[in-house]
Amino acid sequence: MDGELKHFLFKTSLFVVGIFVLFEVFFQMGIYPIITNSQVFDQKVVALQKRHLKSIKLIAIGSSAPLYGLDDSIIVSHMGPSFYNLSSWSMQITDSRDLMLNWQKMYHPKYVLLCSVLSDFRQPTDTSYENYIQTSDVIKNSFPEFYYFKDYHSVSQLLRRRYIDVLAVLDRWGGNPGPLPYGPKEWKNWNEKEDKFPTEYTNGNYKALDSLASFLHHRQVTLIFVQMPMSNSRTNEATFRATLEKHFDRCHKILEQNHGIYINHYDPAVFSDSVFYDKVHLYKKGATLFTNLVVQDLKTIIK
Amino acid sequence: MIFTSSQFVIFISVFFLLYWVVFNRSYKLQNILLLAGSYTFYAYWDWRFLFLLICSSAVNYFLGLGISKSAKEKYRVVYLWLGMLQGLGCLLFFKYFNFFVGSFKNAFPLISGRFDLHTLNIILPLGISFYTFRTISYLLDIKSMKVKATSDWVVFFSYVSFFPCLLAGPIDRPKTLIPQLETKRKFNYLQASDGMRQVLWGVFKKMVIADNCAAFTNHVFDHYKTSPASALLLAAFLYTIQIYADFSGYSDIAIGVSNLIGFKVTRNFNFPFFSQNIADFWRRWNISLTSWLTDYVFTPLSIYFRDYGKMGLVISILINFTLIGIWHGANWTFIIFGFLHGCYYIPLIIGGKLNKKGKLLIGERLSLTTLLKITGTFLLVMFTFVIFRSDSIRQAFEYFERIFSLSLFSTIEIKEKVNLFAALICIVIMLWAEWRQRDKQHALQIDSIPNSSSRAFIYVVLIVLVLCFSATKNTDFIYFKF
Repeated sequence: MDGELKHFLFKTSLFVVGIFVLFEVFFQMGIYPIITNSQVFDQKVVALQKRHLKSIKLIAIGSSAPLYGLDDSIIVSHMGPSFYNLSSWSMQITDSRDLMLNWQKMYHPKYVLLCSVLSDFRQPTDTSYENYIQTSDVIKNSFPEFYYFKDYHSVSQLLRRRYIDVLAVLDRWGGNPGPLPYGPKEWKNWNEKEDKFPTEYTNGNYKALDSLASFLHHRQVTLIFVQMPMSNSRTNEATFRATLEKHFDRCHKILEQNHGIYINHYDPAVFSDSVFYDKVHLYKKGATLFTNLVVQDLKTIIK
Repeated sequence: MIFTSSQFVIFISVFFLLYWVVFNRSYKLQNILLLAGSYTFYAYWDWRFLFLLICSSAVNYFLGLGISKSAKEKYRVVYLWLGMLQGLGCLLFFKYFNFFVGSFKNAFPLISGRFDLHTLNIILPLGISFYTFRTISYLLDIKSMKVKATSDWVVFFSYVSFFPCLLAGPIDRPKTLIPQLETKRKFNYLQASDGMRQVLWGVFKKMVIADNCAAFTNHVFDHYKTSPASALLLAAFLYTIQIYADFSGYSDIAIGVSNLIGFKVTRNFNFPFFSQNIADFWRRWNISLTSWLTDYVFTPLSIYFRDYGKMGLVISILINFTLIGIWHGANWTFIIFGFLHGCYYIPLIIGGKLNKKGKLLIGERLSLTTLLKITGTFLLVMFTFVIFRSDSIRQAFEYFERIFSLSLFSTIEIKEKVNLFAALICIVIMLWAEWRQRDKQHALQIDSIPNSSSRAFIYVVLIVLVLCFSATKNTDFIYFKF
C-alpha cells in the first residue's frame, strides 16, 4: 500500500475511532441509541441484548396495558423463568404482528400471550419499528451500538431521551411493576383524546391479528389472546357497550379461525373502578388480580 | 443511498479501499470499479431506473461515435438531434408530462374535454436532469469539435453515471471529466485530505444547518395561514439559508468524494450570499448549471438576437432564466422564480453593469455600500425563494400578504428550540467562515493554518457540532427532486 494512502487512512481512522469510542462510552453510561419512537421498546432491546437469551418459552406482547397490568414476578413464579414481557407503550396490533414475525425467529417461543385493550386497535402502524425489524439478528444480539449510526440521532436527542424524557423502570422480565410515569391527569387527558372507536385503522388491526394468529399457528406456536379489563366509567354507556361486544366477537372469531385461544377478562364485577389508574391501566392491586387470573388460565394451557 | 446515511458511509469506505488497494493497477480497472460502484449506488434507490440510465448511456455512446465518424454534416446533425430527442424526450416525459397535461386541461377545459387526457402516475428517476444534461453536452461538444468521442464504452458509461455527481450534480462537461477517466488516477494525500475536509463541511451544512432549518420552515410553510408574520419572515430567511446549505452541502460532499477517488470536478458554489448583484449571484450559485445554460442556450440566443442590442440581451436573459426555472420542476412557481431572476437582470443590462464583478478582497474592510449591495441581493433572492418553496402561486401570494400584517411583531412558537437555536448559531459560523475563506474553494480549506493541532481542533469542533446538533429528521437533499 502506498505510503501516502497509509498516512491518510491512519489519520482518518483516528477521527473514526474517536467517534466509535464516544458512542461506546455513551452505551456503557446507559445513554442508549434511539431505535424506534418508543422509549420503552428501545430500553427492552438493550436489556434483551444484555441477557443473551437464545429462546423464550412464553412471550407477552401488547401495549402499555400489559406492560403495567401484568405482574411478571407472579407469572415467573408459577410458569418458570423462560418468560419475557415485550409489550410497550402505544403498541398497536399491527406493530405486535410485525415484531412477532421477527421475534419468533429470534426467540422460538412456544406460547405468545397477547393481552389486549381496545386502544390497541385504534392507531396506524408505527413505522419506526421498521428500523428494528430490518436489522440483522447479529446486530440486535451482539452489536446494538450500530443503531447509533444506522438511523442517526444526534447526541442532544440521545441526552434528552436519557435525562429529560421519562424512563421506564423495567424488571428482569421486561415488565414495569412500579407506578405509572406521568400524573393521573396527563394519562386521563391522553386517554380521553383516544376515545373514538372504531377508527379508520381498526380494520387493519383486525387483519393484523388474523395474520399474526395464522402465522403463529403455522409455526406451532400457541397464541393466547387475553381481553384485558377496562374501567366501567366508559363501558357503562349502552352504545359503547354494543361496540365493545362486537369487538370481543370479532377477536374471538379471528382466534377461533386460526386455532388460537381467546380469553376474556373484561368483567366489571371483578375489576371495579378502584383498581384502575385510568380507563385501561391497572394499579398494582389490579395488576396482581389480573395476573393471578391469567396464571390460572396459563396453567390449563401450558402443561 | 443519500450521502449522509450510514449506508453511504459503508459504501464509500469499501469502495475507497477497493479502488486504491485492489483496482489501482490501471485506469481500466479503476473505471470498471467506478462503473460498478456507480450502478450499485444508483440501483440502491430503485434498480428499475438503472435500465434507463444504461440505455441512455448506450444510445448516446453510439450517437457520439456516429457524430465523430460521419464525414457528412447532415448525418452529424441527424445524430445530434436524435440524441437531443432521446435525452429531452425522456426528461419531458418523466418530469413534465403531468404538468403539461394538467396545464392544458386548466387552460383549455373545453378542448381537453373532447380528448381523453389523463395524467400518469410517473415516478421521476433520480438524477435524470443531471445525467441528461451531461449526455447532451457530450454530443454538442463532439458536434462542435470541442471534444473527441471516446471509443471506450466503460469511460463513457462512467462519465454519465459518475456516482458522486449523479444525483444532483455538479454537471461536469466531457472535457473536464472524460480526460480524467482516460488516465490512471494516483492517490494524492493533499487532494484526498482536502476532499475529506470538504465532505465534513458539506455534512455540517446539510445535517446541522439545512435539516434543522427544514424542521422550522416545513412547519411554517405547511401552516402559513395560521402562522404569524414574524414566523413567515423568519421562515423565508431560513429557507433561503436552508436551500443554500442543502444544495451547496450536497455539492461539497460530491466534490469531496470525487477528490477522495482522485477526480477534480467542477465547482458548483462560490459563496453566493456575498454577491453584490443578481448577475454576480448567478455566477456563484449552481455554477455548473448556469454555465451549461450560458454555453448552450444563452450564448446562441444572444448571438441570434444581437441585432436588437440591449433588447436582444434582455430577451435572451429572460428565456435563459425561465428555462432555469423550468429545469427545477414542473410547477408555475419555478417558472415565475426563473422569470423573476431574469427580470432582476434588466436594470443591470440597461445600466451596462452586467459583467461588472464586485471584488471582495481578503483583508479589505467591508464598506457600507458593499454591505448594502450584498443585503439587497440577498433580499431579492429571498423573495424569489418564497415563490420557489410554495406549492402554488396562490400560496406564494397569500404568504406575502400575511407577511405584511400586524402579526409581524408577534412571538414565534418553536417546537425544536434547541435545534433551531443551534442552527442559528451555526449559520453565523458558516457565514463567518465562508466570508473569511472567500478566496478559497471551500470554507474548510485551511492549509494556511500552519499548526496541525489547530487544524485538528477545528475538525473536532465541527464533528462535535454535527454529532450533537444534527436534526431529528434526516431529510433528502432538496435538489434530488429536480
